[in-house]
Amino acid sequence: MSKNISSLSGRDGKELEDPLWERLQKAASIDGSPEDRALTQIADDFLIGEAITYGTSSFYDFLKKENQGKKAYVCNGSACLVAGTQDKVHHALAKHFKPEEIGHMCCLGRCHENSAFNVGGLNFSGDAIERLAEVVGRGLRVEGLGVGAASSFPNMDTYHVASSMASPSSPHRCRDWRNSTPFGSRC
Amino acid sequence: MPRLEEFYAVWEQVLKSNSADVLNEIKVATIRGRGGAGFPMGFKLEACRNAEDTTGNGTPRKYIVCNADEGDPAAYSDRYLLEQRPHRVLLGMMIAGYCVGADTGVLYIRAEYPEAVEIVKQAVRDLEAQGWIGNNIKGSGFNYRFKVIKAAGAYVCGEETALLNSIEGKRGEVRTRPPYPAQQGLFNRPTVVNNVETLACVPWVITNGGAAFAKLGSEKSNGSKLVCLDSGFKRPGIYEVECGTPLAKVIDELGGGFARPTKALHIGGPLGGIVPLQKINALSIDFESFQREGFLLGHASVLSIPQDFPMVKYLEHLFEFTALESCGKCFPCRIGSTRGKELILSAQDGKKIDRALFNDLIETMEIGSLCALGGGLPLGVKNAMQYFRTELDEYFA
Repeated sequence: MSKNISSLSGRDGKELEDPLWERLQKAASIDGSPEDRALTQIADDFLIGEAITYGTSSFYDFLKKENQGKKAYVCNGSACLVAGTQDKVHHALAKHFKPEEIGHMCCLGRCHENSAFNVGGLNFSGDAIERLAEVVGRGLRVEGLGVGAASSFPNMDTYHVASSMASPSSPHRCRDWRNSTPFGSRC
Repeated sequence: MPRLEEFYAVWEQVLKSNSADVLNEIKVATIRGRGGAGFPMGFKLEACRNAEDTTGNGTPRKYIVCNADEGDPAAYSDRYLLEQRPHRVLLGMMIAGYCVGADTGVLYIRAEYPEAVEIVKQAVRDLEAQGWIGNNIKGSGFNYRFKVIKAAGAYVCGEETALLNSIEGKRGEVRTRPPYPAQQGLFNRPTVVNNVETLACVPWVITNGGAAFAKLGSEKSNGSKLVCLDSGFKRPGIYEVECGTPLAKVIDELGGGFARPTKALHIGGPLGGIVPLQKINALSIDFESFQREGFLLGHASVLSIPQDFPMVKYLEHLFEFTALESCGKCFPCRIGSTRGKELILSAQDGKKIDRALFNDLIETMEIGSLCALGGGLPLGVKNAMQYFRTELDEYFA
């Protein structure tokens, strides 16, 4: 990969202040993939060839053309696969979305609950699929919620958290760890 | 925020300390990378500390990059840290930056973790409000800023050089090495890339001393490790164990045993080994025992493969996953994963696989791939062929 592109992307004023990566993502935010005109404009702004912006946008799942119009995603990770939960998830989503509006994500990290899916930019799992109408109706979006704690999200999952170094048999003991182990502090 | 003030007291101490002494504590701790590779963190930091930004491209910089592209199915310990312990990760990056003279921390968080992205952004805002980052922090003369980058769905970006390309706005293709990122990383500048969990160890190491961390664990695997258990266990979740803890203890005591009839464990993600139940007692949560037995600890995610899930279907899934996620830069991975998938699919339609040909294919992938995606897939495939031969024999000539 060209060092020259790296240098052009890393110039003062671009680098992390106005990064190429975020310009491409912003261009994709309207419909799931940047329009050709936007790719040309971004290439001009960064003094790079269109092949670079086209190349990047065609590489990533959530920038490529196939992502256009997607509104819901089914997790297709290994844990959900072997749990056998995803056909039901897909079937349920199909009642609310057109086939071309449903994509895949791998994976959402909800491997402890399975039945994982993403709607409106938020992840859901476990029995959330039973409440899909409510989930879709609320039209939740994660961006701009401005929350500082995971518990503030209405879609958060639950799982056991414990340390054998502090208390071998008691899940949810994280509040008691406090600096007793490398991951014990609340912060 | 008294709790945060108490937590960041160590940061104010660090800012008054000699950076070489701070780095030395990390070296004494011998933290090995928690993302899967197990490379000592202290080596990377020292190499970056000794490197200079010779690009001549604007402001000279070095970077600390947090690899939060935890794409391994069944792994969610990084998600846990980002959502529930974000300051542990951020402070780890700040201390790492102080050690090497880097003024910028970049978190590359996967798009599939949208909540984590927002929580970390809020945590950075909290730091700014408290004056723990910015210019001339607390009068120390040290500057530090954060940038949170949301990824866009590419498993291969968990590989550190593909990740750097992605931050630069390029295709997430793997770079050849050398030069290593510590010499020429992000925007060609000296860069340390560490996994979330690795960085999250650092505050504890600095607070309690490198020797205290080194005292935990086994000879070559120090400290503690987070282990993720999937829904195939009675108590699925995140468990912190001292390195060297028997795998059986994790499964039976912490996980409560299996929730369903299980025939194997896929540990360390799709590129890890497939462990048959009879091997559980030979393994403990450390790099050594997994290597000795022909498996891989990786990120220590534990996925349980149900008794009734056909192993051939699981292998099909692994090849398909690799074919979809291959960056395409090297042919053993790009072509090998697709050919493997085709062979496995055909075998299920009655066309038996030439075993010698298949072995050649996975050997080529293993030794010829540029990174661990193509290079790692064969491990689990070989494990399955060894330990589940009876089940798979009908598909091979």
